Amino acid sequence: VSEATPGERPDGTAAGAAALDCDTAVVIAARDPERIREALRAALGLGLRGARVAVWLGPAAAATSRDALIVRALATLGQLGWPVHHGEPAPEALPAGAQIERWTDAGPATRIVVLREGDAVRTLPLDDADPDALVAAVMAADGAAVW
Amino acid sequence: VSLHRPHLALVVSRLADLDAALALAAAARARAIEVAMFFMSEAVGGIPARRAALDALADDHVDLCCCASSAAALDMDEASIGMVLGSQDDHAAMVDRADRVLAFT
Repeated sequence: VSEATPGERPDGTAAGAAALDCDTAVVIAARDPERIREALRAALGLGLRGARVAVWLGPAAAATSRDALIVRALATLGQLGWPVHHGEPAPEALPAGAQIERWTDAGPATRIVVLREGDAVRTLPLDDADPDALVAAVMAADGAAVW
Repeated sequence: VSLHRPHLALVVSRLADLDAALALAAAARARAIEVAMFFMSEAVGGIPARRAALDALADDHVDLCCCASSAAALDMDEASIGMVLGSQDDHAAMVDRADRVLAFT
């Protein structure tokens, strides 16, 4: 398991696009060990099917990562060669082509959808969004993620 | 002529976001977008109460799949869930073939 921060290579060398290259980014912003375990279970499943997975373990998740199952999942990710970065990246720091799963704790639905359009990133609120307009925006964008 | 049809994957693990995800799935189908949904974690507990909406999506050719491990943890089975139970491999396959993924996780 690497200790690299987003933007760094897993071995801590210079930052670069290649360091962040992945098919699927799993960003764990949760604090609840159960949610962290679920996120890591998903990450392992995504990778075992062949996707290049990268995990970002946010500060809250890192604080509770002594849980035995979490430790084991992180170790497995490392053994399979999939980087685990520490910290939570800004959406625009993630690879443009990657699918993104951001895991949070259970709670109210207060999130946004981040749309990537070229080098630009814009956000749409999810709460009051018209579903048709949101779907149109998501499909027209170069990338999208619930944040 | 491109034969590719746009494909949206919706991963839902948060109960609070379940209704928003169902609304997006219906809106996507109205635009002739292929839709697949994978449910896991606490969101699975909200499935029985949304049976009508989920049946309508299934009738509209939305692929629905529920994590078997999450269902078992909630003491639910395929009959009470009302959709196919699958694994994280189904989740991964769905993400792999999607043009866009919205993960309510």
